[in-house]
Amino acid sequence: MTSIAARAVDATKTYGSGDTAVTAIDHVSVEFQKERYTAIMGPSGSGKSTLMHCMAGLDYLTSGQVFVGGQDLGVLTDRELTELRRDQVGFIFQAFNLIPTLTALENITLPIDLAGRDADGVWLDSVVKSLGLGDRLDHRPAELSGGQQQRVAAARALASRPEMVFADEPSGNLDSTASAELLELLRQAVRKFGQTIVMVTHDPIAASYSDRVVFLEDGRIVDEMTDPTPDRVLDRIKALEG
Amino acid sequence: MLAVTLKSLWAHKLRLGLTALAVVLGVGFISGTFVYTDTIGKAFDGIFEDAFQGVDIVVSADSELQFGEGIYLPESEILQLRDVEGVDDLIPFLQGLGIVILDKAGEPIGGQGPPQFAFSFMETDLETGGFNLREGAYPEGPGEVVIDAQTVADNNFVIGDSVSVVAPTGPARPYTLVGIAGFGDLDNLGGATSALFDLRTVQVLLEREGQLTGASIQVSPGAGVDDVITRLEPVLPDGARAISGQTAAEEQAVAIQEGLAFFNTFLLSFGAIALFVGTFTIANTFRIIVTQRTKELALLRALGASARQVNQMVLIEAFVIGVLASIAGIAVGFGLALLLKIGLEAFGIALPTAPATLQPRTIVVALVVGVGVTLISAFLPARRASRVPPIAALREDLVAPPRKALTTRAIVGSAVTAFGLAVLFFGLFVSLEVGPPAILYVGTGAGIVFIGVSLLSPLIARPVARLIGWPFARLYNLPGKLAQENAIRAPRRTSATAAALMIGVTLITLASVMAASIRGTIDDIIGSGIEADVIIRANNDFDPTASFTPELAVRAAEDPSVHEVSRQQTGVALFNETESFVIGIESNYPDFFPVDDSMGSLTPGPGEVVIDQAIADSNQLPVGSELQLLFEATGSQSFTVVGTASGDTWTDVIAISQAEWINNYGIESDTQVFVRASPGFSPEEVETRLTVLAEDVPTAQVQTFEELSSDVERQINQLLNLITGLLALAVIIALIGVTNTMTLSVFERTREIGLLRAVGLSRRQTRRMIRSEASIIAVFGAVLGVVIGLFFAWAILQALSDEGFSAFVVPVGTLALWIVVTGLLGIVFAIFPAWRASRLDILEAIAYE
Repeated sequence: MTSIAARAVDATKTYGSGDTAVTAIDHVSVEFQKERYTAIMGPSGSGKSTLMHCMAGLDYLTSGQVFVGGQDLGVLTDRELTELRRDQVGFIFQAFNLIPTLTALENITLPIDLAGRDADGVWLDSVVKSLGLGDRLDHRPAELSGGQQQRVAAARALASRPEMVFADEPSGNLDSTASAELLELLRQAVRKFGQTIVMVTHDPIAASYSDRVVFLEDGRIVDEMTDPTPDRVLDRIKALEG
Repeated sequence: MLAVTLKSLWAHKLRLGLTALAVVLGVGFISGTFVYTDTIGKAFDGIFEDAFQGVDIVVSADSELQFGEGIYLPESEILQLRDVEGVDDLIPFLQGLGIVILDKAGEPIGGQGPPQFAFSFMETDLETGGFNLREGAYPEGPGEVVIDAQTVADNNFVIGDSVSVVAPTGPARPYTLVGIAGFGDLDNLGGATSALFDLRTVQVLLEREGQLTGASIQVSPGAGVDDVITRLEPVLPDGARAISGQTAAEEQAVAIQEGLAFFNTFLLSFGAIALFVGTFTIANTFRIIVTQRTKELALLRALGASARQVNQMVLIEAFVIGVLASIAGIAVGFGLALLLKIGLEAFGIALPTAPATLQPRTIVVALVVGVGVTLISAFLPARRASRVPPIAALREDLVAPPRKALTTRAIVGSAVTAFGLAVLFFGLFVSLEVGPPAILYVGTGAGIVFIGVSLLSPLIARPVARLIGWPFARLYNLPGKLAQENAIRAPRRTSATAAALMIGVTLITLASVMAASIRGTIDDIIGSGIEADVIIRANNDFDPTASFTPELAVRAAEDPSVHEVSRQQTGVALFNETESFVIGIESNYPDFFPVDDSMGSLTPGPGEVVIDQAIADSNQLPVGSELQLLFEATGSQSFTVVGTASGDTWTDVIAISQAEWINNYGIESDTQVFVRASPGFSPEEVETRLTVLAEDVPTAQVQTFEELSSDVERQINQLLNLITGLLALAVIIALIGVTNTMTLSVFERTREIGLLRAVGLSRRQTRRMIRSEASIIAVFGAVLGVVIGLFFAWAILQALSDEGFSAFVVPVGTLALWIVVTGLLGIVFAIFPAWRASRLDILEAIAYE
């Protein structure tokens, strides 16, 4: 429970230069333990999405380092980063999460197919089953509800047993029932399958499903909380804002 | 509204450029053709003005009947014109065709298109701008020749060299090169070779002793040109006329312009095809742009713009693109005209040059055509744009106005296709009999069919694109499969892009099948239709009347390897007011050319003619009826039809006896001699022996029928290559359409591509995905094109079956190669959009709005 899946060391990301420069994350150091479910919270513009993008190899830091599975992302080429995203990282976005021309199953196995590998059938079965997608695998995204689409996205993120799963407001576009369902499934993935998930959210209820919440403000980590509940998170946010 | 339009245009420079490119190329080709032919025309005007400068009056044969080598006038009567009052000086001249100069290796020079002239040439006091001596001396006596500067330079002749010249009636004879001549400022006459001799020598060479082509006259000082012409007219020989030098220059210029007009029309029709394809490309681009701008257009509507204003906005955008592209097209045209000139010069065709001529007509045509094509293309997309409901600005799910159901499309598409086919078949099967130019109906019908098929093609796009995409899915796994799915996902877009390619490929297929079928037909004739082993024929693939000395047939007949020969002469005469070939045949001709069926006698005697059964049928000329032929030299002559024949080798035949032929053409020389081998001699042995006998007649060649067949094949291939080259423009414009569609698709699918990249699609896989999709679209277009092209070719050959086309040959390998090449070109033309897709900023692509 103590080993590290990913970490940032003195990570800084600045957009623009000179007078107009904006520091999105400012000397952030943080560790994400394996088999834990971490939420990153913060108001708009706090740098939580930027931190996630840099951790996931989607964006480069201005200074500092990020490591995923012990690998320093800063030294990787675009091709190596692509491979890292494909093999060691899973993504769940807020919207437009699936390729409309592919079936649910093809969407789930997309990263595995891109790598040209065969899917681990047993693992895939258990992921699909636990996400309740068994009878939906031949459908195209347009034929699925929003909740089902996000569960397909979750299945895709888990299918290749990545080192890390990054979720960016995964329940942002869902109604409360579908949202609760998805968040519970993500928590189960950590509990049952030993996955590591980092989720960016501004919803205290969503954050309450996690094991640990990291609070970000103005590009800096300002607080942390373990075993959160919605009320505690809300209180903390109010305190931070006040 | 205009300001909004212009700003939007400027904001999308890339889109603007891609749309405009199709128009630029099409307009460029058309204006280039005009610039080129205008420039040549102007230069020729100048030459003929110069050529007749100083010549007050020209006496020549009445040219209304001139369609072959020209009419000859009696020398004695022409020379007597010197006595007419007011004639100061009269210079007789004689010119003729088919006089071949041999190079140092003894091979004929020219004969690959431009004619081979002989002229009389003498020193005069007349300052004419025609042929002028540049170096050396004028030719005098039977052993001297002057040759045009281009031919001299090309063959490294120097004054004093012995140069051999061959006339149709005799073997090669050596002449001493005494001088070098130019024609005005030019080194030769449009690629022709010119051999200049004194008058007597030309008369001997052409076997025209005592005959002239005409004379140039200078009037006495103070005498009026018109007065002298009036005095000349009563004493002119029959069939001659006298005109002023100025009129002669104008007539020559008009004749050249007419010749150029054909060339012009030929090139312009390829420009028109390119623009037609451009219409598809532009329309498709506009359609995609309107779809992508639905939100923007809806916002304008929500803010109070009327449907009309939105419609106009798109049309104004088209207008601006049309104007800009047409202007660029004119500039491109200048470049193309220059390329055309360089290209022709590389083939040794030196056409006169003048400063590049940009006539107002060219500018007007370029603008009208360029703007017109763009506006027509934008018409339907603009209407679609005006139907975007304002609510689309606010709602996520309503991204485009509802489309017409595919059933409506099927009905409209089928109706349009059927109408196009009706016009096409009318042109092919009905108008041929009635008379108006069939090509017009066929072209229009084909154009309508293209539109109809492009309407129908979305209906089959899904299954066909899936099939075509299959190898890509196999080869590239997921990126291939994604490409396959993407091509299927927007069947209208895929089809519209493919339809533009379809047109070019259809025409290329048509040309390839026609060429293969013509080859097949000729092979049929050569293989089974002619009972001969070897042919002796003129060494000139371009002039069917090119001939050689009858001496060769005599020599061949005496050779022990030869069992029997049959001579044939070929000339032009007017039959039914059209120029037709009339052949002179020997009595054994029918033994060499077996008939399928015949009536009467196949051996015409004096005053008798044998014709093709089809000609007899269509002109109601049964055996026993009278047939009129108009010869240049002897005028209208009446013949009795004594026989009709049908069969491949008798197609279009109008045959008279050899004696009659020689009478009416005033010359005895053969165009073909058919040879049958003696028992025990192979065709190759006969060929070898006869080649030795024909060594001193380089204007004739001896071939087995196998060699003849491959010669024919080579010629047909040359023509096919030329046409394919010109059609390549249409294919390139369609491929630009592929670039367009893919660039816009990448733009439209930014988020999707970003997501794929985020979950692990490498840049390389991204490029593969886009290129594969482009390739699938291109192959779809090529397959459509090949299918329609095969159908068109079949229909045309059906219509021409009366003309002796017996074979329908599908060059499977060539067509398969075209499909593959088109697929590869699709990949090449998608390099740019693929590169852009692979360079998309992932974060920007997946960022929320």
